[in-house]
Amino acid sequence: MRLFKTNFYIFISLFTGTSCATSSFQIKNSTEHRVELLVTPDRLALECEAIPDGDWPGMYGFMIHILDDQKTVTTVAQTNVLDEEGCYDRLNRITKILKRGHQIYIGGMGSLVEPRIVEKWQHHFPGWGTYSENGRSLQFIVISNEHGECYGAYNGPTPPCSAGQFPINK
Amino acid sequence: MAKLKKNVTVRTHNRRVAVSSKNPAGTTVVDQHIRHLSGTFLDPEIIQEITESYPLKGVTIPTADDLGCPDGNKYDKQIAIWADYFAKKFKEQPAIHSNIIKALIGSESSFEADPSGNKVASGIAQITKPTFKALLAADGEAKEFIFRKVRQKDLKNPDIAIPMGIRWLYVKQKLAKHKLGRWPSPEELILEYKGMLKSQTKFKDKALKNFRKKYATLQN
Repeated sequence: MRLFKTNFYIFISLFTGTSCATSSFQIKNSTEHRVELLVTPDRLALECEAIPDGDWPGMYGFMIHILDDQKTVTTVAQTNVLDEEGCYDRLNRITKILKRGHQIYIGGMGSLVEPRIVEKWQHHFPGWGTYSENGRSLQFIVISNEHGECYGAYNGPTPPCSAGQFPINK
Repeated sequence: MAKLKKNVTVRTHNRRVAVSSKNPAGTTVVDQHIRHLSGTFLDPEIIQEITESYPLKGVTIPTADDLGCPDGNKYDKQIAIWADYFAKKFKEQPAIHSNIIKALIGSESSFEADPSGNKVASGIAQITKPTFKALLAADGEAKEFIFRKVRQKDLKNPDIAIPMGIRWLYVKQKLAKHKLGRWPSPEELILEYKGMLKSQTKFKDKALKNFRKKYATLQN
């Protein structure tokens, strides 16, 4: 894993080839400051982005890119800076959650009401193709699967994995 | 008017101590060091005193919007007090509005006092180890006004972490001015705090958008 010194993606492609039949993207709930999403793992790409032009060596940013129902990409980002180890640790833990689940719940702070724009960044989703970011982003708080396995941006892997604003349902 | 001295150099001198096998003469040599004068440092005791007794008249309280976080309004008083305290302490620099600080804390920790999973930074303001050292160093970037008797684990206490984070913002404001040739905007200041002022990454874009939304919500 550490052979990758720059950006590294993990693509979850459990539904590759048959993704259209089983894939889904749904805004489960949305308030002024919070958004809850229900998506299938084929629509998710995890990324630890190296920040080589940051103030200190070894800065990383963690992001979850989500292919929505309009074939544009919304990004859920943990907005505090991490180090390489911390970033890949959560990327690996979340990868396991995605592999074991079919319905993925994501809780993020922010809103998805801005008009979509075409950003310069693109992301590849196996079985789907490569699509551009839409300018929308959320602050990552929690992710879980239908088995109750979860990971919280600020609370780690111990359920309920968030401070209570996003109830994790088993 | 002459500028008030904020610290003094104490020259090497002898100090009387109890007679012991290590100090049979009953004296020890104290090396030259810097002594910060009262009003140029904070320690946990002083922080507590100020937090409990600071006059709130005229102090700008952050907007009472929890930004969707369970503890989003919990630290408004501390933010207001220390924003005002350091604005008065560093009058020569632009005052940093309490809503900027609240939005920053929201983006750093979602107002969690002790967020887990980040070994390089601690507490509600996500202060890194090098930053923590700099805030305590008598000869570091924050030497004009430092913290004393604070331990790394104290950063898990928002009462300590919030004044340290705001003090660091004032250090970063000066550093950003040096980089930009002018005082930074609120967004530039936050990017400097996060160590990404000059970054061109996707992540910088996301972190900035997140701060921008939170700050706009508080300002509206």
